[in-house]
Amino acid sequence: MDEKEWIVGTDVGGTFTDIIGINTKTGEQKLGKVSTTPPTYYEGIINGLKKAALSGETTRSFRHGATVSTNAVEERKGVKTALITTHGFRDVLGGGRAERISAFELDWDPPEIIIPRRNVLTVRERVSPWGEVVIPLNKDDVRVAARKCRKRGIESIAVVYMDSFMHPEHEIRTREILQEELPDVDVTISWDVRPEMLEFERTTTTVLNAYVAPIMKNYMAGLKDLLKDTWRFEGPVLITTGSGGLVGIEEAIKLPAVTFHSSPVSGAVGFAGYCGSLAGFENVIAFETGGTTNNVSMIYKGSPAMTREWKILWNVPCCLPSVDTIYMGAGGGSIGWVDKGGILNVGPQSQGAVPGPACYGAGGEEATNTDTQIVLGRINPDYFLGGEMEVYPELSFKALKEKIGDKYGWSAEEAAWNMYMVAMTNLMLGIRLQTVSRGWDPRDFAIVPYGGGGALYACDIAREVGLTYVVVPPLPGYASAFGALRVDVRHEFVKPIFTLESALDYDKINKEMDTLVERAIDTLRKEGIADKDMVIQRLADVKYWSQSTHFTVDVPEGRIKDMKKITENFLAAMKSKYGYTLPPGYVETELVNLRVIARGLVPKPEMSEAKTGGKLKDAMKPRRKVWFKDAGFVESDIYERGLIPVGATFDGPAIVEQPDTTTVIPPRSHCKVDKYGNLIISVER
Amino acid sequence: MSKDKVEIKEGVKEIKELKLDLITFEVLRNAFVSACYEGSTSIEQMAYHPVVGMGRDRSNGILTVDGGLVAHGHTDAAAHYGSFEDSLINLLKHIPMEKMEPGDAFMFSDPYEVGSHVNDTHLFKPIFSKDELVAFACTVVHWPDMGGPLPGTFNPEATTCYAEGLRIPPIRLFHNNELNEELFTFWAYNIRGAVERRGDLAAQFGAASLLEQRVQDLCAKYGNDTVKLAFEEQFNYTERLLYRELDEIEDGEWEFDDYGDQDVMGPDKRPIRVHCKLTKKGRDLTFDWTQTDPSPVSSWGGPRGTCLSANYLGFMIGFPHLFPLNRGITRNLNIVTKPGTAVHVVFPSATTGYCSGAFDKVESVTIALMSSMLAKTRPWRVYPGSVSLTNLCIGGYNPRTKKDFVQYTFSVGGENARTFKDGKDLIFMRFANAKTIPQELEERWFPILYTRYEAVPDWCGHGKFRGGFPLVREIDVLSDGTLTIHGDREVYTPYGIDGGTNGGGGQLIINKGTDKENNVGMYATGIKIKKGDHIWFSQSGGGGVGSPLEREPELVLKDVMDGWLSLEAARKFYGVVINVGDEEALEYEIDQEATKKLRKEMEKTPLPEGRSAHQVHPLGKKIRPGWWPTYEEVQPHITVSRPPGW
Repeated sequence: MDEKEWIVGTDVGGTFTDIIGINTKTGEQKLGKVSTTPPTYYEGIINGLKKAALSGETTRSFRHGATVSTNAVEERKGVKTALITTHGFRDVLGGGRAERISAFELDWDPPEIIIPRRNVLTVRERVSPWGEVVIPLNKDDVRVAARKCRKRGIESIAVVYMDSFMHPEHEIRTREILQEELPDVDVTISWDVRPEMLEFERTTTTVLNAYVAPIMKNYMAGLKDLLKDTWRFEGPVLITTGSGGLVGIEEAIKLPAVTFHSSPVSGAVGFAGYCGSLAGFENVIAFETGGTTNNVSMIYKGSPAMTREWKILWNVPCCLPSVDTIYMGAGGGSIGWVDKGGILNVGPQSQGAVPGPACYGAGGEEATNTDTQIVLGRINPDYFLGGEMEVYPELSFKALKEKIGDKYGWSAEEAAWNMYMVAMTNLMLGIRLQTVSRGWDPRDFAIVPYGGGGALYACDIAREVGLTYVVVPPLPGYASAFGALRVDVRHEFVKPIFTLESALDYDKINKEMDTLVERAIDTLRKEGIADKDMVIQRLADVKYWSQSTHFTVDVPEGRIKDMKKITENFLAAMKSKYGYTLPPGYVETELVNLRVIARGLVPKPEMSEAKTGGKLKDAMKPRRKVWFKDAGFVESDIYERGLIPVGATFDGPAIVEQPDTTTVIPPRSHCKVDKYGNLIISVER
Repeated sequence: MSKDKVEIKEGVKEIKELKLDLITFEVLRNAFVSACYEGSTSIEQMAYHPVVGMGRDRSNGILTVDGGLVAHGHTDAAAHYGSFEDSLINLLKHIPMEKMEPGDAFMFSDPYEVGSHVNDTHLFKPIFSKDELVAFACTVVHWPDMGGPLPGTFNPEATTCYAEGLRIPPIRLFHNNELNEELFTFWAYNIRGAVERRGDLAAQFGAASLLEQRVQDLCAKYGNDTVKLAFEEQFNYTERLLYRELDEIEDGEWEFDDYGDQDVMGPDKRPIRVHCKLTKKGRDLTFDWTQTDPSPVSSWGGPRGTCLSANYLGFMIGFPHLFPLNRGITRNLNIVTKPGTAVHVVFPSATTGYCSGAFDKVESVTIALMSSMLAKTRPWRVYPGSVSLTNLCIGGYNPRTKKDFVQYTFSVGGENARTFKDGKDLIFMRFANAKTIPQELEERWFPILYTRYEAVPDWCGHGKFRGGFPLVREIDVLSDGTLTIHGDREVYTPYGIDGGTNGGGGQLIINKGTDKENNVGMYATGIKIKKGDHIWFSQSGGGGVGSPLEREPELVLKDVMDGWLSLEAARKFYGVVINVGDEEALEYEIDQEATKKLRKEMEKTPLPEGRSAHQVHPLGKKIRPGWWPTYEEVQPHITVSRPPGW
């Protein structure tokens, strides 16, 4: 009975907590979906584990993802936080990069800053850009700040000093003093979060960590205990991160900011990217559509497109390495409306889950994207959430007719397809922008839709953008939980150098690099990663000294003797992104940072092979009329996803129904089902 | 039937007369803006110079063959795209369309014909589809140097264009998509940093080619005629939206003026007055700038293109839902200027200082006039003045890189108050959608050390709703050099309205508070700075709305607790008396009795009138919102046109 064959993934979302377990030997799969239980989220997890009938004693590894930290920021439910920063720099946090959202709209305001200005406290100290102490740390100032925090009931403190990444001693000493003075208050220093240049980016990231740290630490410590005591699980607990990886729960407790953005990312990388690769595509557009938004991420040659600035809120970026995810306001609840110039618009206003689309009958009278899908015959109202939720199609018709159709003299159906086309246009332009702005041709990608609504749009988007393949994986409702099973442990370590090539001391550089590598190996070992499963990537951030951004390039193996190969790599990277480099010797290169990305390979269960046999005919349900672009309403085949046999092929127009999503397969497209149950649809142009 | 419904019905009736199908129109008009945004993003990614990249000093537009602006990017600079139409029309006067071929691209940067200044180089690319010239792409990039006596080409002491930089007449810089090396070399010999500029030029040409590709793709898919029809229908659609607004607004005449602090090279250094009269009669709008002062001697004024773009920007701020600016708007605005005035300077007047000078004043006057026009029916579109551009240049020798350096610093100041909310603090001026360059990056480029990056307390325009607070930067100089500042708004500060005060002005002081103190002001050229000197550089604060005595005392208390306002300012401007217990515990309390008494007292002696910091603007005080809208009332009118993912 001590065969530990199961790997279990969970994702704690705002509404539901998903559990998935896969048996690594038999491929057996167990699922559980339960309500999320704030503020004691771990109870939901235990409920889910029970529902899925999974046992801690037979589980080898536990992977955990949650939107808890992101939600805490979005909903302003973090703790009372103060920022201590260098005297004279009180407004680095609030001023940001002085950006405005629109040239014309002066009535718009960015979200309020997380820490009100009164709780931004300053301390006399200053370090130069080269790490020399210009003004020594004034310890009395720190103690005054501590006293203020005590009197004001501050629960968590972020400490960020100018240029501190070149000389962290002031931040470290400040933390010591704060811990003496305020033993119960959580302290985050920027040196631990983001020891890199750019004061605003470093400050906001440190503040974000401080804002959620006590909540997340509590939650994760509680989870760990509960899994051990109640679920009798002794193995490693790994936490998903926004960089598309995992870290051990101890690391996540040290730095909860790594969990921001982790849920959508593991869905994109570990689910959409993985399912795409199973179907033979290494370039994937991960396309998730939920109730209020869609998220789009790109995976190119198997690696996700990364960003160093992921915005939780418009003016609150989290600047840790992160998978780039673009939000486009066009979810199921987005509202259609007519402007004064007679143009039909969709969104960005959304009905959300309450009152929701008109068809919910919960008082929403506006026509939403979900209503158009019902009127166009794509969503089967008798099979909404597998028939568990009653919806009222007549209300969809009414909303479309009254809110849009009557204005143009259209029927509800005409209103619906026009509104659908507008929503499509926005999605199409957004997706094109995401690929093209990175220099990629969207036609080289396959779309992998997931979430409740992605597969309603994917084939039409493919046709509009000019790509051929759509892969609809099974289990679209468990994307993030499943994704947590398919990613590896990932850490990033950085050491700022800021030295011109001509002034480099290679002994020092090698020493610094070795230190980073040691730290990486040490961290992975603590997480139980065997040496053979470690992949250590040595990197250098390089730029011409006069450039504002750097390129991260590979460092050749062995001792670093000169910059020759590194510079070559830099020039190649610059050439590929910019299309040009400067003449040799014209501007000196600067070594900005040394960087190590450390991966720990963990067991990753495969997607279970589908066992559905039988005949395609058995999956067929009564035909109905469905609307398609360029074809109008067409009598279409309807299939039940769970009954379609592996290897089946069929043509559009068709609809594939399953409890958690609907796949629309338009005319002139062909679907085949691979052995994992993926629907692989090729769309003719 | 409600008014809204009637309007929508009317709009729908008109849209159904479209000569192309509704969805095709929707797809195309979105695709035009999206293409421009793509172009601008690609420059941001590719450009070498940070002012072009991070500073976003670049713009992209699509124009019809007869010079109608169809679209521009979301984050582009109004000073650029506002003059695209005239620039193209002028280009075609030099080089007729019959002589243009696919693969050509024309460079053009003569300020008198393209607006703004020599640094804004316009690259026009004719777009051919099936042998037909269907449209033009226009890509502007601000080149950090265009030659001339001073690095960066800004020269506050210039009195003619010959003391600034290279003016580029329309030249065929690319043929068959190949750079004309001879022409470029001629140019390169005359500017600083030409090697890096090759990178910027590659980015610029890349963007123009991208726009060309996008329009060609649309033509291939929908046909040339449909695309051209969509251009026209985009104008008609915007025009109808505009008429809808104008039909609801009373006719009238409004006047406003604003001043530049000084004609620094003029014999008497007099202030420069920019004046406009707006006349609205039905759907006719005339902006008459002819009463503006004559062209200044120094580099302050702008050519007509500058006046147009600033006028358009101010106009769009009144009607942001009309985004993007296009011919449907421009053909409905009658903008009258007189050659030889400060807002329509002619050859050979200097122009590099147009932005902090003429552009800023035209924008500010236009917004005041729009506010006057919209006050009764759209009180949320009533705005005081806001921070303006300042160009601070520090130059010298950098011991670290063993090279000369030039550092530009953008202004970050306070935005105008609104009639329902305070102004935004620490924000970029309106003319561009840029980001500031981080201090930690600048410290590594240049021999300087920042010692302050913080708001200036009390320096907003005060009012029932106050303006935003401006930034002060303090810099330790680590190597000898020179300093040049080309700004404004030290004396004539951003105006307040309806009894709110003007914002605080910009200041540049070297060695503030020591016996070597040197108040340099907002105009100075080539001031010597020495290692160990300390620079104190602040910008202007946003103007306020309504009497400060009507401000909720609780809001004043909040500002005091947040350190925006001093206790003295709370008393002096707002008549709010605050008692402080333990400051460390944030024990602040309004003394209600004393406040009531003080406010009553202050009502008897109104704040002084004038155009400087914390005075009540004599013209601004007459601009009054029809009512004080609530935030809930304003919210549905907020329209932010932003690209996906923002």
